[in-house]
Amino acid sequence: MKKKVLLAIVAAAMMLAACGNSAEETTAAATEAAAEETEAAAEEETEAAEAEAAEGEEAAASEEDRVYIGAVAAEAGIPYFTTMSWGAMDAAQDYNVELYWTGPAEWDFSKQQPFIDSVIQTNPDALLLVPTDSDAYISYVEAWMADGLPVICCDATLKEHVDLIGYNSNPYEGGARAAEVFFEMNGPGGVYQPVSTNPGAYGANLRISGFVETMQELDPTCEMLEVLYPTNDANKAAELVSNSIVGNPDMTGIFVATSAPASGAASAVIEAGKQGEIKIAAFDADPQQVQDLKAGIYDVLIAQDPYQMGYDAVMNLAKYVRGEITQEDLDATVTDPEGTPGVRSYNTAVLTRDNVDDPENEHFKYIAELSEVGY
Amino acid sequence: MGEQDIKNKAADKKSAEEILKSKGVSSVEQKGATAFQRFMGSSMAFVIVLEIAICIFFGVLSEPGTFMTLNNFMNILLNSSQMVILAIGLTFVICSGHMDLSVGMTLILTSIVGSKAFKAVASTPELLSEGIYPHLGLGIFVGIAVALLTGAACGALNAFTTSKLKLVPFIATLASMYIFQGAAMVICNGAQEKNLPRIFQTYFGHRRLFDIIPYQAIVAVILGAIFALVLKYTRFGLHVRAIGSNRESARRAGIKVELTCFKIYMLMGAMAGVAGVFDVARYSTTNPSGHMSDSMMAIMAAVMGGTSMKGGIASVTGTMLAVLIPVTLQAGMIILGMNSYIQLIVTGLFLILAVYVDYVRNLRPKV
Repeated sequence: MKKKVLLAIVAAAMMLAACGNSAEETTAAATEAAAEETEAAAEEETEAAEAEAAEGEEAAASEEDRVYIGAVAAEAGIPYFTTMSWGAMDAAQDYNVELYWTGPAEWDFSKQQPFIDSVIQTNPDALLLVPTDSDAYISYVEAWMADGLPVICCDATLKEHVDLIGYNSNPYEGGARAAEVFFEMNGPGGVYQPVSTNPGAYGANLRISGFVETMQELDPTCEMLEVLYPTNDANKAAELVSNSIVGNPDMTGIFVATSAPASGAASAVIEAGKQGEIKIAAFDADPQQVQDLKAGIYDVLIAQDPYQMGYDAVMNLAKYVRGEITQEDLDATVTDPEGTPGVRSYNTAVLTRDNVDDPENEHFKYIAELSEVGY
Repeated sequence: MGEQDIKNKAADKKSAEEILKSKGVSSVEQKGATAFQRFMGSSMAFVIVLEIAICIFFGVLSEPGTFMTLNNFMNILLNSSQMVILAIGLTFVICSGHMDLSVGMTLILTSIVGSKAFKAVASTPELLSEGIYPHLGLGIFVGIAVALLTGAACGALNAFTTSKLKLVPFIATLASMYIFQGAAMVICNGAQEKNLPRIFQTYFGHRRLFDIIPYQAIVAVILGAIFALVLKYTRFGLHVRAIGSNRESARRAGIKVELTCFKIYMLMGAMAGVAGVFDVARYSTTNPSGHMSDSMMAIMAAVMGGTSMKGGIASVTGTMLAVLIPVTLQAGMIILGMNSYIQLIVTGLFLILAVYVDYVRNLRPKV
């Protein structure tokens, strides 16, 4: 029995060591962040963000109590959500918010559930949620809101408007814009390969529908190949796309719904020696994708605006908790009240080699590490 | 039933007990020890100690009112329920010396087929989009029945390939995993099931007895209790253990090995069906792209709980308790604010440590 107790202690010590490190890191990061708070934090941001930051500093000064906001992303560590957390952290500094940002290692609602449950156990004043499914969380969010926990959904929105507001980029429109650019580049009669992630991935498949339907509308003579589903796996994407290139030697364009399979598709095109001949349009603007766009591997990037979504969500949750804004104020920002109630859609940017370095596109380029922006 | 049959059965029981005894796994062998000593020597006691240690560890480190709350423990129970159901089934499979890697995909397939059946019976396509379900009760009954039957059918396929075609269970169920996944995708066309009623969640999935204990956890515990008794005290349970101990001896002792294998795999499939029903009830939709690692987690739980990978030895209660360990670990790490990738590493290392310690502990001579 003694041995058992000893082993339990060893196990506990191991975990303590692991947690200790991460706690130290958090403290260090917090200290650093606090030091930077006194500096003009929002210099690198857009004009809108700057204006909001100035306003926020006032708010920070006037508020004694910090607001604690929990944020659960759908997938930790990918540049898209890192960029969103950057926006959220900037807003947290500007509005005197303590932010806890977390999320599962893969996009799966049964894996996200424990993260949400545990974050709620830490008693946040408000919750920023990236729902991994548009249906699964409706009754949860409804219950939390009823219990007085305000929720804003970011990136993906819920089927029913039970949250304060939902922020997304219009996935269908993003796909449609890729189709328009392809049509401009290739003219009629193209052969196109759409690449999604999982058959069940709601957002990715809406992008694909946007692309497929718009292209077929613009160019009824085009040949649209069967959608490929390589999950979020670049290797698998390379394998599937290279098979498709062999089977369809006259392919003119590939549209990829997310960034990871896009790099696989790109390598398949390079391996087939068809670079330039087969145009690639991909969703998102990861640092590597931006480099690859400049290098001529991609031709079009459909960039979303996760920074601004994260910023606005934390800002508005903090304001709502403090009673500075109401549900009506948020409802007034809804993009299409008659179409999708309770959703504000952010514009995507079409990045090409010609415009990628334009100043107005700066915040559409994602970051890989928070350390790049001083966190 | 003739006298001869009764005699045969008695002989068969005796032989099976002897088989277990010869492997040193019979309860008879430990008769010398007190009940308490026997309990403390078991994997279950180890798992309990481990679980308590984890709880104390996180309780001390976390802010008051976060980890050490009733609600947090109930969340852990709820988040473990599906895995408990799967792991109970796998305990039988592993105990019989078999393996099943297809449980996650069976779960997905059963949830999809069950949802389709529910929708077909409960409503019409026109009414579905408006959220009207004229035959709700009947729909739910049929949906659950179809999910369980689909699971049992999947299990029957696994039993056929492993016991009739004599394929290695590891390979056979890996193959069936792809078949079930493919079948699920064909049926749902890759999409999550829509237009399922929200009352799945409000009346069962999220519901808690006295607003405290999740219904799903209650059902999981009841099923666990039933199957713990089945494994320990019924003829079927004895046969499962005997086959796992020594398949050939079991056959010679008159146990219908193939039939028992069919029962075991069909039970596993049906349990995956129950987990599929739980999944739909909790989220009011299906999750065709999830559950990839469910089989592995369930196997891990069974082994940690004291089930031998070589077969013959098993503990349903140990398995159930072992499921709680990774879930508790994760909840604690999230509450402490640990990076999600580090969480995976810590969970993995912890599971290695736990299984290794249990292994070393079992090498010691018994009391």
